[in-house]
Amino acid sequence: MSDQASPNPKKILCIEDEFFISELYERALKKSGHQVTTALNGQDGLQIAQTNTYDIVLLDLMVPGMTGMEILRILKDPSQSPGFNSKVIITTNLDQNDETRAELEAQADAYIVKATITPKELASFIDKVA
Amino acid sequence: MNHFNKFRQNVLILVITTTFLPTAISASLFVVLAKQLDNMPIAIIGSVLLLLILLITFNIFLYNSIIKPLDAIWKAVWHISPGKSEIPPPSIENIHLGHDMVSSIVMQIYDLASTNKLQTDQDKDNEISKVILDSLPIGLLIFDKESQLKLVNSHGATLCGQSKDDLVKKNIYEILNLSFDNENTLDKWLADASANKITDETHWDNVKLDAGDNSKRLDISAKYSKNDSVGNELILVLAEKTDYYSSQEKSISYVSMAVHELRTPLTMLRGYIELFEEEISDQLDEEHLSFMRKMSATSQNLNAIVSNILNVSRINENEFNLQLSEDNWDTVLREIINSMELRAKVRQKHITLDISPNLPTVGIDKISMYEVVVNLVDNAIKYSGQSDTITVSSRLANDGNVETVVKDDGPGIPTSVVGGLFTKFYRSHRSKDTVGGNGLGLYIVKSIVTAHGGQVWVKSKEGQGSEFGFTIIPYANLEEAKANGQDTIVRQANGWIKNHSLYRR
Repeated sequence: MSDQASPNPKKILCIEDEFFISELYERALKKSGHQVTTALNGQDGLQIAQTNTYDIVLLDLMVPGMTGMEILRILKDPSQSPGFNSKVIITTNLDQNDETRAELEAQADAYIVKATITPKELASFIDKVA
Repeated sequence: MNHFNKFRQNVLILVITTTFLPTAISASLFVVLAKQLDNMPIAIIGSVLLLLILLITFNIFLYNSIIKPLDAIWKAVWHISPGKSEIPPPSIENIHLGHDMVSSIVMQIYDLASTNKLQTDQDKDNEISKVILDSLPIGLLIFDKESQLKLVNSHGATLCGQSKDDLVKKNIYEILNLSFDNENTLDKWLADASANKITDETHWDNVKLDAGDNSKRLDISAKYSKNDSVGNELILVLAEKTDYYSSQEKSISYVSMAVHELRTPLTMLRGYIELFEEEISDQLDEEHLSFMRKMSATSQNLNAIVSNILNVSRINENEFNLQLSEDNWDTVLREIINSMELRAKVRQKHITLDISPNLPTVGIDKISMYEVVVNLVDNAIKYSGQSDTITVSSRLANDGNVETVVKDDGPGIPTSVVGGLFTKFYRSHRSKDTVGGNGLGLYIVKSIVTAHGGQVWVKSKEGQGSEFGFTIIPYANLEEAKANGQDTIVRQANGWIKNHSLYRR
């Protein structure tokens, strides 16, 4: 639908282990004109993020293999991920303790509680971030 | 050595000259005088006088050539002895005989003393370093080229669960039984560093160390130097963080995990409901469309309930932290009410907004304030009975704060129960029988508004509807604003965006 198309289509990597959620996100974001790649576990997601260029990385904090926080630290460390400059949006349903919250605010570009936002709303959220 | 040989020769000559020579000369003189003068007394006196003169002369010579040099050497030894600093240094200018030898020995004495002092100072420095290392609250382990332990401080030995003496000379892997949570292990890093690097440094967080009966959590920093001048090939710094990591794990509490488990299927439900609305709504009749909207509104309600449970848990554990930022209340309130329209509509309610123009900007935590309004409007939707209008108004109150009121024309609340409304789990007997709920909403509203520095109030009478109001402080009046904090994170109802240009001041 033309009224849903993003004014600024992006290349997006979605690291999300819940298949239903990744399916919904991928569908809604593609519908908005974005190009979407999905990784269903942390290691694959990290490897894809390090070897390709994306505008946005949607990063779930609880993914198998590696935690989202570990992935975020590696992606934001220039010595481990040279050339990485995608914006990282944390997607989570987990409440954060103070330490994690502070670290996320320092490292990530945006943060959403997944249950409070529908896939369509995520698409417009991405337009605000990027 | 030449000086010393010369000195020995001088001593030998002196012994000969001071003992035999005067005696021999005097005896010869005595014999000559006795023969020539034939006068024994004069011969004796003359030879004795000569002997005395010779003895005095030779002894002066002996004093200058032996006693004075020995005195100078003795003074030099005393001068450098510990606790004898009051003894003056020897003066060797007055020594004429054996001057070179004496000055050479004295210089050697002073050289030896300074070397000894250097060694003593070095020993002292080593002792101080050892004390400092042992008093450090971190473990330090230094390994040689064979990966054997060269040095460990007290804390390091304690972490490893063995005495220093037991640890020294042991191989690194005999000492440290480490478990890493990914494949980037110390073993792998060290193998890579020794094969490919001259020097390298790295760090690991949250490494498990098995030491005897208990395990510890460590942060580890490592430095590798292939050609270290003193053979310190690998230095490990171990910082124990057992308590920190344990508390971090515990802090993901039962409630947080339960909320996570509830929110995950809720995310999916909301997503699929939205997908159905998007893709098949044009194939549905009005009745099925209304079912769809009810599903959507119900999933939003469920999400609000889950958030309430989490918030109560945070409030109870004193972990409800607000991050205030400057916001336009008109915009925020409209956003929130817009997001609630579906929930009102499926219950045949209509929300009217009445916001005074030119309200000052407010200092709020937007996510929390979203929950305040959602709870109040949800209550109004649930408890307004047959009345179909809910009015949300906002204006500048007399005290200079921004006041927001949610008003319904429902059956109202009996005066007897009004006082307990903001208490946790409080539900009036009547509402218990007629409307579902858990009695957390108003408790959360009060907690959040109070944390913002505002106040909540309720005005209700049976049969005359209810008004729930709260105040928020204008941003300019907040202490945080006066402290000139520069916000870089913009909070929205569903999360936050860093450095969001649309919202930046």
